[in-house]
Amino acid sequence: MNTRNRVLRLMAVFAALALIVSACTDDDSGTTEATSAPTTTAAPTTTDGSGTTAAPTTAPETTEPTETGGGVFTTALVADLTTNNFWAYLDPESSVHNGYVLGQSHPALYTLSIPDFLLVPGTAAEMPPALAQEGENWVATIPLREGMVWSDGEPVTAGDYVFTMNTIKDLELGSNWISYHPFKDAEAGTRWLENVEAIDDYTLKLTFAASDNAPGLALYQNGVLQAPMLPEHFWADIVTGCMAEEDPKACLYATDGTGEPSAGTDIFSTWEPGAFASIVANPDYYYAGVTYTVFDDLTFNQAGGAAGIDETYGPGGSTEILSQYADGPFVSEVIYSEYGGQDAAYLAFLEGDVDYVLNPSGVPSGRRDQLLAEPGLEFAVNPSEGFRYLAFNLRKSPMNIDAFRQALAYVIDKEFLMNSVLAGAGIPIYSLVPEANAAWYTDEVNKWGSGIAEGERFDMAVQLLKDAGFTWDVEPLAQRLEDDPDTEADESLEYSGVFTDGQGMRTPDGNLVPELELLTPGPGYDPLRSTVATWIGVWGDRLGIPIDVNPTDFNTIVDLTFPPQEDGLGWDMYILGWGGGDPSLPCTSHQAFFGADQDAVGFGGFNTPGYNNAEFEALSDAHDLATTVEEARGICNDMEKNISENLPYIVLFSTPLTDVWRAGVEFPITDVLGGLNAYPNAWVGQVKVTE
Amino acid sequence: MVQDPRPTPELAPDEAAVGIDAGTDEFDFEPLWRVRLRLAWEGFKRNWALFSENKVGIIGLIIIGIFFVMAIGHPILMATLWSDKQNIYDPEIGYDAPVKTLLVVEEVTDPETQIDPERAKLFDASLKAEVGDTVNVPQQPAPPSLAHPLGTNPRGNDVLSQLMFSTKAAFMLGLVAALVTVLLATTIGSVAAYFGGITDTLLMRLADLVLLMPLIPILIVLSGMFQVNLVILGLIIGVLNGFGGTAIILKSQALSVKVKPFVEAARVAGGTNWHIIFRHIIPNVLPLSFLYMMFTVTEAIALEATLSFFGLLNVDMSWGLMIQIAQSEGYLLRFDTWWLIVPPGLAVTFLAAAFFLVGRAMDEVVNPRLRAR
Amino acid sequence: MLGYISKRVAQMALLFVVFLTLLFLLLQAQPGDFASQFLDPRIPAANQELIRQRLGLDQGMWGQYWTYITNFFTGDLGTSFMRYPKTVWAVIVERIPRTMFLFTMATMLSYWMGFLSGKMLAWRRGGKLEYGITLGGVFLYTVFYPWFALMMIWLWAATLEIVPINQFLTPDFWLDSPFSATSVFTAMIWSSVLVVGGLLVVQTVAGRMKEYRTQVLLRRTGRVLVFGIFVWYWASSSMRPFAADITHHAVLPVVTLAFIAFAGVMLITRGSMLETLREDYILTARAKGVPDRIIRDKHAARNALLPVVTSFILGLAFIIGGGLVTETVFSWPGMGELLLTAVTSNDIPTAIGTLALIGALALIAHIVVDIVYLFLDPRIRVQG
Repeated sequence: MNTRNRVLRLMAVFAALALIVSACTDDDSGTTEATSAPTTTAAPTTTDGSGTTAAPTTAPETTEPTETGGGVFTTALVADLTTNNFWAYLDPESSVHNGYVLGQSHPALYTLSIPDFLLVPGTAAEMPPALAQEGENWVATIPLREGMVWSDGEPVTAGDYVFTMNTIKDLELGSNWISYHPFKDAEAGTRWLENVEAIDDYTLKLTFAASDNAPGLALYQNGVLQAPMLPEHFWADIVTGCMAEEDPKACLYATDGTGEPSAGTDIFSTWEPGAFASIVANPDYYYAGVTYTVFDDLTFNQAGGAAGIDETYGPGGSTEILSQYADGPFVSEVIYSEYGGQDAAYLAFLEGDVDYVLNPSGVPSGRRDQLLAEPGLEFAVNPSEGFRYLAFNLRKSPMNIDAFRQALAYVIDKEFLMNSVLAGAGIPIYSLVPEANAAWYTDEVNKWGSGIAEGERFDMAVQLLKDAGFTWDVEPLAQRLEDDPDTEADESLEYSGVFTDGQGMRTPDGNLVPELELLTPGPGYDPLRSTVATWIGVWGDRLGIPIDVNPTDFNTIVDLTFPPQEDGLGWDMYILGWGGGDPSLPCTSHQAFFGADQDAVGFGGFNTPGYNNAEFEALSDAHDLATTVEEARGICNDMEKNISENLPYIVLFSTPLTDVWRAGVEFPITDVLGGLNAYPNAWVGQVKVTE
Repeated sequence: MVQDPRPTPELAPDEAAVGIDAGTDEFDFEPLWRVRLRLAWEGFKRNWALFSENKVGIIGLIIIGIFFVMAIGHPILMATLWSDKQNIYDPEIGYDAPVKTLLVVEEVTDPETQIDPERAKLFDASLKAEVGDTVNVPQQPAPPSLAHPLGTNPRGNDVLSQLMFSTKAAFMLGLVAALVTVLLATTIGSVAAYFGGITDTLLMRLADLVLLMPLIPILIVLSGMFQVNLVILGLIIGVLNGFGGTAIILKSQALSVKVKPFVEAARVAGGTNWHIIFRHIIPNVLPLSFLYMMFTVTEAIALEATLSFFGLLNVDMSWGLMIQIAQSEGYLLRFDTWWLIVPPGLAVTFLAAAFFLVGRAMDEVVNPRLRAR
Repeated sequence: MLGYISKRVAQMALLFVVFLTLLFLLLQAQPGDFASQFLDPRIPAANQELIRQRLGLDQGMWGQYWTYITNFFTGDLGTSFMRYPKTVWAVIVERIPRTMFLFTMATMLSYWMGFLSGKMLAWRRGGKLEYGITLGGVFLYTVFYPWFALMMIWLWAATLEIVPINQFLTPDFWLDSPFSATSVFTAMIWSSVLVVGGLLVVQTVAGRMKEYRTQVLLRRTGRVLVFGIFVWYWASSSMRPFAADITHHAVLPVVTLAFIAFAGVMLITRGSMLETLREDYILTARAKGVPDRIIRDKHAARNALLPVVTSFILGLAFIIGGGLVTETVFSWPGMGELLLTAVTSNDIPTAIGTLALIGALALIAHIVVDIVYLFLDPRIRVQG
């Protein structure tokens, strides 16, 4: 036999052999797989600290040891973890997937309770004090809890907060850090955080800039008070070292976060990039075993646990429980198994390899129907915080004419689209704040013909356009049964469902309405939005508005509509979506979307339509100054009404998010705005696994 | 079993034909066009005889024929059988939304008409379904039925209609890509071979440059830059192929033509460079070009489907997009909804394979060394 | 010959600079930039500018180009946008072993399968078997690859459960692993390379022997020795179970890839064999009465190998690029998957870095092919 040929063959035989050998030897690994459950509790880097240092505990007499070791919770990530550095996570690597793994490990002065979004003390010992004036400045003095420790035994002190805030300021950290510590020249206008100091280990003093009015909720309670705290003793040297570098930020972000102590439920443990990461239970977690209760008057209580606390915030008095759950950690380890996409992840879920899939877009409908047929699974469905919208370029005619937008709003039948065309894949909505965020939602927005029959809506739209002075060569008409399109419409007859399309539409000043381009993500990117856009095109054509529906790459739409922009005249209408804002203060998003000082042209903000409305501006200013939640709610509702009336956006729909998990897994909460995937840092430590 | 290798003809039939033509056009009594036509017809008959010996090629042709019927069948169906049901069968906005109305009850005794409150919530977009209400459970995607021979997709679109509609798109894409490739590659190959020197070096280094680019990432980049529809995608694939690999292959073919006696004869007879290139070299390179045309079609179909599959193209409807839609709704990696995945997958495979098979068979016609006799 | 090679290398180097420039311009011309992924109403819009500054996107195109090119030729591929502040080089180094392993295995398997079946096809010209295999091969060759891969996953991983579902290792099993996946991959690649190298050495040494019996003996002992060392190394290595786990995960992608690729090799081999079989020296060999098998394997196949080797070497370069589709569908986080995410998310440095690496390797492969031709082509050897 030919030699060369033989070599080739042998090489391949070897390859095949290697495969077979491995398939056989895998018997070992197979058994290990099955039994390798809770043997490991902590990674080499994190074991040391547990219980070695005597933490300066003052309170707990009733030390109920937390039941850890209750198994392993295995969950799938549908994209890779890209960092284990908490600093980087909140700036350049701020992906939701990183948040799933890193989000729970750092304490804050105050946190939002899930699922009701109430501000509750975390490391702070009591509710935030009202700001007091000290000279020109506004100050707050906040006492911290004693007895909280990092997982290496060091106490959590006011110094950690001061260190974190100073690092943000000194290194000018960006993205999420800005919202925790606004720069002097940033959006905060005349109100910003001037100084942070630790009066002693457990007392903080915050000083805000000189101003006539006290800083509002956005800056104070929903901003600086919710900043995460990082352990000074771990990071101080690293930060100092990096300050000497040419690019201190890059140096800080490049640091390996392995070994950083945690004050959350779990400690970051192992990471095999591209494959998996794991976190292990923190035995020194302060709130371990604490029961959280929310009553129907929004009174919040946290009690019991190792800390032996019993604290109640809010009005008090009600006994009707809205939600209640106990803090963990209940499992010894959480494994995040990385799958390149959701199909593989759900397949692994179906095969029992993982207990849950951390998928920000929820279970797709097809997968849901498949999983419904499987035994031993549980489901939850929640409304999402985000919404998809149609935006108008108010810098151009005829989009700048109110009646034009309002007429389109009349003919866009969202109920029909969502319930019939898209078979329930979306929820028709009329306001930016979802109905599920009950505290902030208002129903008193203009719903533009919702619930009214197609023909009638059409007539209303035509009437609106006529009143505004629009004219046609051929007037659009919703024909009625036995209606003769050439004669005057007889309004006593039923609609026939046939329409005479308008032609040659002219604006009130007599110009022919040009072909208007509607940019929409293509069917490959989002079939829902492209379908809706197609229908908007159909309805627009009926009115005589020549709409060219153009399925366009997402990046191209953003490039055309968002800053940097020269004149903002490169587009007419587009459809995109926004993810969730801050559910405890949702109208900060409205300011970002519609504030005149946020105009995408000239100001580089997110106000892409170029909306500039005096009433809205007044509301926006008032919102900045609101110091109580009640006050902010009233203003927020008025903003919603303003937007729904003037329609810089037509809000189109939102999608419900479905979750599915293995029956042996128990989540502290399952009914929460945005679904389980929106706030995993609020439940990952509280998950129980019973087999 | 051992074949008797006969001496192979030096020239492929077409070359021979043109060779005669070049030598005799002044003395012929017949008008030139008739000679050409006759020779072309004879060449075609000869080649067809060779081609039809190859069963593989015939299979390819049959498959292409079937797809062609599908492509022209769609507008016919839309105009006849489906004409009054455009709202159902339109491949893009048509939908059929059968729903099952179920009553929400505490204890489900009849799953055909009842549903428990927990499940009901999953199907009620307002998330408010309570006992006593009814919820509409969409019956999509629906399995094949008389009304929808290939079922419907998760949006209620008719799969058969989409499949047939996309066939036209696939042919169009393939045609554009193939024509552009052949046009460019033949010209570039012939010009480079004929002129040689700096022209050759520049054009061939350009080809090398194109070859360095992995096709899919480059197409992703380009599809981000332009609003890529199928015609533009065809153009891009054609240009990349025409300047790249195909040009190199056709150049080597053109080189072997360039040294043939009839080229020399034409030159002596005073033919200009361009006359020689277009009248003598290109016609002799064309058979091989047609071969690569087939391979380009194969490639274009597969590329379009792959890009659509990743959701990177903004096309109205295509086979890849059909799979992509099924994917985004979670119908991948399972077989219970096979009609969403299998028909478009097979369509891409079969049409691509058919052109490839025809190409292979043409290869044996063009390249005598591969022939059975 | 040296002159020829140096001229080629110079041309290639120039070509590479043009290639880099072209890549840069193409990627720059994409709409949007990386910062547009950070649109978030909770974060002040001014942050967008900060991100652009940090990534150097505010420099203007020619400024960025100059920075990029100068850095490139000092070996600095820049900083990845997606993995900021990790360097592109670090990201690539993390991923290369995974891709190398997967695609080397798949390529070897497919060339072996393709060459054997191609040889058979050419020999059994015209039979039913030929039509069957050709048709099957062509359909595999042109199959809609993502679809085929999904079907394979569905069948082997989801339904028959013979192989694991995607990923490249079993997380539970690796939790306490003392090794990183990269180190295991590296060990596996090196040991495979050494085995192949060892086999080649054995083959060459044995080929030099005069006596046929000595040849056989040497070859056999040599092979046993090489495989013995290989088996002994892995048997004694504490990495073995981890390597086995990775291999188990690699089976499905490797087999799928090999199925797709082998038909191409088969068709090349067939064509090349058919041409070779018409050469005069084959006729001579027949006339001499040399047995068919010897003619096929020794005379024809050997020379028909040339185009196959060419395509093998040219293909090797693109191994690094990996199968963008394969890696994405099989959740194998290698270079292909990196390239796809980099290109789609406007991570220009990572995209150019990856593409440039592939381009450089492709150029080197071109030169290698030129040289190999000098050695393998019998006509050139006779002259030499």
